[in-house]
Amino acid sequence: MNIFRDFLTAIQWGFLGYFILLNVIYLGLAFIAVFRLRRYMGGMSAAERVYSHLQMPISLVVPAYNESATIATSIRALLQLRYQHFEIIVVNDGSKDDTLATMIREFELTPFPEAYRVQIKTKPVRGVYRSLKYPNLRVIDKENGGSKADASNAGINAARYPLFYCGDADSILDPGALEHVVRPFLEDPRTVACGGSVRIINGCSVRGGVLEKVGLPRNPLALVQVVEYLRAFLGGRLGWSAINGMLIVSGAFGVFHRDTVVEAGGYKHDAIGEDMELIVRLHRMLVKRGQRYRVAFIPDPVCWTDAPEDIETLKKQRMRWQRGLAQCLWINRDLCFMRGSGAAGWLAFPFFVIFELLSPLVEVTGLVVMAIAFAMGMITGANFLAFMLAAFALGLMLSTTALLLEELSFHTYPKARHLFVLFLVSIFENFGYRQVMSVWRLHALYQFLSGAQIGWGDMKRKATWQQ
Amino acid sequence: MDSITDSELIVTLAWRSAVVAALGSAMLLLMALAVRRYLIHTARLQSRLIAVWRPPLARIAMEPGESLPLPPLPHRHLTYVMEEWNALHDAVRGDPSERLNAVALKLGLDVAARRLIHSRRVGQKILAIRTLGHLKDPSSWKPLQEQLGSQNALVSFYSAAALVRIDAQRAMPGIMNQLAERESWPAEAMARLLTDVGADIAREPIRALMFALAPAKLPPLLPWLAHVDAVLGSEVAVELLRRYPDNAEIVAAGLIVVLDPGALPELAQFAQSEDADVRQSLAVAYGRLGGLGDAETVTRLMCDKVWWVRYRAGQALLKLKGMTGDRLAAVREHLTDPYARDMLEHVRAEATLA
Repeated sequence: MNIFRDFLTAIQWGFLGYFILLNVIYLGLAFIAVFRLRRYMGGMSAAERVYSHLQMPISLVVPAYNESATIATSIRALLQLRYQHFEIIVVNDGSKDDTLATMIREFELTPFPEAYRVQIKTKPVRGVYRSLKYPNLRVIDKENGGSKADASNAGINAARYPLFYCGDADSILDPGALEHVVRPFLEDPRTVACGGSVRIINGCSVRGGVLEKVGLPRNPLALVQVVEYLRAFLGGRLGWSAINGMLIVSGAFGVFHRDTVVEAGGYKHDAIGEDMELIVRLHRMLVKRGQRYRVAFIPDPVCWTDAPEDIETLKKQRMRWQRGLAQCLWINRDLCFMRGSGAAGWLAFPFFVIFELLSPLVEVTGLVVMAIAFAMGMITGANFLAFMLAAFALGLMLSTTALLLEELSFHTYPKARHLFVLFLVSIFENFGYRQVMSVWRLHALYQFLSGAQIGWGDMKRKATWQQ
Repeated sequence: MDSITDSELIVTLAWRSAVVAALGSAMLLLMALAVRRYLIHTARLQSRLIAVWRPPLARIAMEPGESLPLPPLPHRHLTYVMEEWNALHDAVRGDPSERLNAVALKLGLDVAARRLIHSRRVGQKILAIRTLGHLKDPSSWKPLQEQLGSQNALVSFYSAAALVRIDAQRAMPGIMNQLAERESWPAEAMARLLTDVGADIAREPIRALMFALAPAKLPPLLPWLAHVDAVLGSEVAVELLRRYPDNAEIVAAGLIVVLDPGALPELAQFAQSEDADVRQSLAVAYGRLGGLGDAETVTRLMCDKVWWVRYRAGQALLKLKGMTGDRLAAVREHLTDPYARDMLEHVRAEATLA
């Protein structure tokens, strides 16, 4: 019995230490983010004045598969971006519906004898079209490659400009997104990729593909995701980017240096989380080559994405993210503690393994062990409560830090009521939501380790914000 | 059964962590609310001040002899008014600018700007630099020159612009030193600055700098020289191409600014360059300067292994002086390389759609 008691005591110390360390690191990142944000915001208007005439040309790559219902709106929204030098390359990835026919009709596409270059191997291209209405719009029609990565790679092959953007068709870009995101590339020519802050569009109103009014969703699941995104983008990523340790550029919004991505071989078509995998691979390639580089992040809310509003879709999404994380870290494991890899290899990579990949294992095990100990009367109710409250309160503090960062910078949510609602959500997400997330992620980890082959599954998007 | 936490330390630690974190969260929420309140207050104050200050400032700037009573300006409102004054200044030239300067002196914006230039906040520092530049007061030279060497590219660049406003001739050596040492100034903004300096003043310092610098520093300077004086830029480029034919970066940059068609026979050697940027620049040069006699070289470039070289060569072929549809058809007949034929179709279709 003594052995069991000592074991439980050790586990308790381990869990408490893990949570405190995790939250201290996150708070440290948030602390870095505050300074980064102050500096960024302080020089913003001056920088905009200087850089407003400087616009590196950007190719916008938009993979599309069976999106006949929304593709015209998505393209029209992109055509309205406040930027001078950009081209749009829509890649019709062998859609089974009339996505291509819709584009031909809506944008007066005509076959174009493009000297298409294959720098990254993809499924064969069937034809290239060019719009008679919009000279900067081209459509690549290709055979289905079974992944967004394959379609994106075809778009990268066709891209003419030194930078390319790759995003999701169901996301809305801020009209000034490209002006913001190009800044890191202008300020530091070593920049190879730049991510931007992604926000939840549920609850906002959108007309003709343009965000009209910011609001909060009524759906509780979407509401919790608003807080999650604020925490992830304003705390974590801004902090990591300050020390060049960004391992993720969101698939919803990322701008890349084209030639560097081509050298890296483009997106990996069989990667579950192809966006993260590309960034980690870029780190690995550039460190090995001894090249000085930077993966940047801008805190401006440049992209608004649709959050799942039903449990099944959310579960699929989170489990896919977790499997993607596991796969990405495994494939690129030699970045960990690689010589010369700086913060990416020595801090971010181990952090992602210990505190992102393994966190569901620790959290679920911790909960189970504590519950068993409590049920067996081995710890008192008050002590059980103390551990639970410590975990909840530390999480709450992180969320509130993200809310403060949001207020310090962009104060996107116009009403004080929004702030209160988000604070309350930060409290209530601790009662059930986070635990369920941990269980799903643990399940996904098991699936990855057992080698289960799981596809994307159908992602249900309600898109009630769209008019 | 006793509690297994024989040491109360762990429980105490958990309780304390919870309490500290909960209190921290509450404090952060209050801070967020306070920040929100402050920002709303600031935005309202700014709108109010703009409404009060813009009309008299605009009238004074636009109407000679206008002497309006100015509203009182408390110290805490100085930066807002300074921002508005600068915005107005950016939009005017000549006499209105002088009248705005007189108002600034009356309001004490010069004194405030000399103090703000030492601020640790980049935004305030740049605001002060812009103000001192607009005021053109030679006594601001020293603080501005100190900021010229700032590590922050924006602070440094704005200081250069302010110094140019005060005395362009005197500013050039400092700016040239910065150009030699830093690569962080945005190129197009630099080109605009050199336009403000004027070709007469900028020409010689850049030329002198180019022949004094190590070859690695030359490529970004060539377009700037060409920007202030296209003919001189072309002459210097030809000279540099002769001097550094093996330096791919200089050759690629130089080929872009050459204006003399007579130099083309000499430049044809770069078609053999191993650097794709050089071959691409050469294709662009042919498109700008070449004639029918260059069709063979351009056609060879259309068979290049690099897409962009083929593309630029294809565009150049269409632009060659004297090139007609029939001649183009004849060139196509003789093209055996499938990539070159594809590219020719591509650029012709593009030209048709344009």
